[in-house]
Amino acid sequence: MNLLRNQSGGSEVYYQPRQNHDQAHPWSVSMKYNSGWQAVITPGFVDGSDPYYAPLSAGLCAEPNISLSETQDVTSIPPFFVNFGAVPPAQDASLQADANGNLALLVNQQAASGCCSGGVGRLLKSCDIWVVIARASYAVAVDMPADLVVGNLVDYTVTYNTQTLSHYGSRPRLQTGPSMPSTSSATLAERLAGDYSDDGQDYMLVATVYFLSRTQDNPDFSAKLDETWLPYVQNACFWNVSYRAANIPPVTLQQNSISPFLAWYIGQYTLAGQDVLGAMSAAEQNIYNSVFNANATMGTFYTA
Amino acid sequence: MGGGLYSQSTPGSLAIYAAKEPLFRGAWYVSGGIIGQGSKAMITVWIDRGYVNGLQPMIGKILMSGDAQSPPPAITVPAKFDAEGRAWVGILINIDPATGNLRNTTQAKLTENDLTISIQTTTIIPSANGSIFFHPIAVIRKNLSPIQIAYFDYQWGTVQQHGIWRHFLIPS
Repeated sequence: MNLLRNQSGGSEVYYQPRQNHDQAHPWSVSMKYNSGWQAVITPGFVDGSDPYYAPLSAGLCAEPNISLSETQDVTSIPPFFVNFGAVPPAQDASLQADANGNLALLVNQQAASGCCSGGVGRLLKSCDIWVVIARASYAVAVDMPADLVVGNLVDYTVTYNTQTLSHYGSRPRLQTGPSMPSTSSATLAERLAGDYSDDGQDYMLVATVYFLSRTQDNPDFSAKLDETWLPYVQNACFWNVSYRAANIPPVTLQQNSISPFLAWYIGQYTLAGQDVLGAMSAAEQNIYNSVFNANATMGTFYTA
Repeated sequence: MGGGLYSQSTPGSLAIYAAKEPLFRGAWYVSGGIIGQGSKAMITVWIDRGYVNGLQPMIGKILMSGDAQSPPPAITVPAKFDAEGRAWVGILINIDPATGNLRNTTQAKLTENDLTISIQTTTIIPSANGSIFFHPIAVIRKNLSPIQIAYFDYQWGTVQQHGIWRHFLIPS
């Protein structure tokens, strides 16, 4: 015990960092059932800021009860749970068309798994808890001068897109769901059309929570997630982190370039030599490589 | 109070607060108390020493672990908290924006601007402006126990990117 003593006759109140989880690390997830499964997370920090949990309008420092109502059925059973008799969810044997239009017999996976045939296996569900943080991404403006056909070219202006950052601010946010999304990149066509390069958010997995049912021949078995299911927490983050977006200022590229089609088109109707057109294509490719193909603002989480 | 703590505070009696001794305290361990009563009550914290690039931060003009003449200095947390009842104590790194180097501390008498690596408190985490970088080591909560953020000594480094200094603290 580390006792601190009062030093001035009743006017001092001492306290120390909380240790009620027996050395629980930051982001440690505890589970409880209260009309639904809830997680309580030992506060973790991104650059010293505790993530904000919007549904309860509270930061992690307030230790909100985080509802884990959205789960997914686990179809690829991790080895750890195979030893407990977990099986994929049962599916009716039926004829279904695959992506190529071929009919195939979809067998009952539970019966086919061998170890737990006869409907006695346990079901497994999971959900993810993650931190998401907003940042700037890129936006591309495409300007085609009026004299394009006679050989003048296309201008690309790259700027910051702060739409997500303006909406959510820079404070990290805590979210839950069946599966953590990943940063969604825009396609090259979308970028050329002026859409921003990605969704302007970076994600860090905090934990995956698995729920294991009772065996299906148990009288207390429930196919619906309730208090008869056992939660298992697989923590993915054990320390507080820092976050840095790449944050490279956009370069205003007012270089001239053309698309391959325009190069061909111009080649048919102008006297421009193939070497000139080749140089134009090379310049264009350089722009693609340096700007459009790089998610240059994507950030990184690291232990701090 | 936070979990694991108990209190007894009848007037004039001994009030003892004890948290379970952590198995791993690490560097920068923050403990503290409320000294005084009523409007004169102040939150004061003590911080176990930690190092940045092998250097101890300063508290005021004294090394955080004290020296031959002075005990480890205490820090008084600002009376105000943010809207969520939080304040931070952390490491403030102050560089020369022209060179990116830590400000000179070799002169005999330090001034406020010379506090190259110091311990400071704040109710809002300042954004890095190039020459100033603040890294929180604990959240101080109004009427609640603090929450430790930093556990490690650090190596600090900076890179200049498009004219802006970016700071990195790597646990070491």
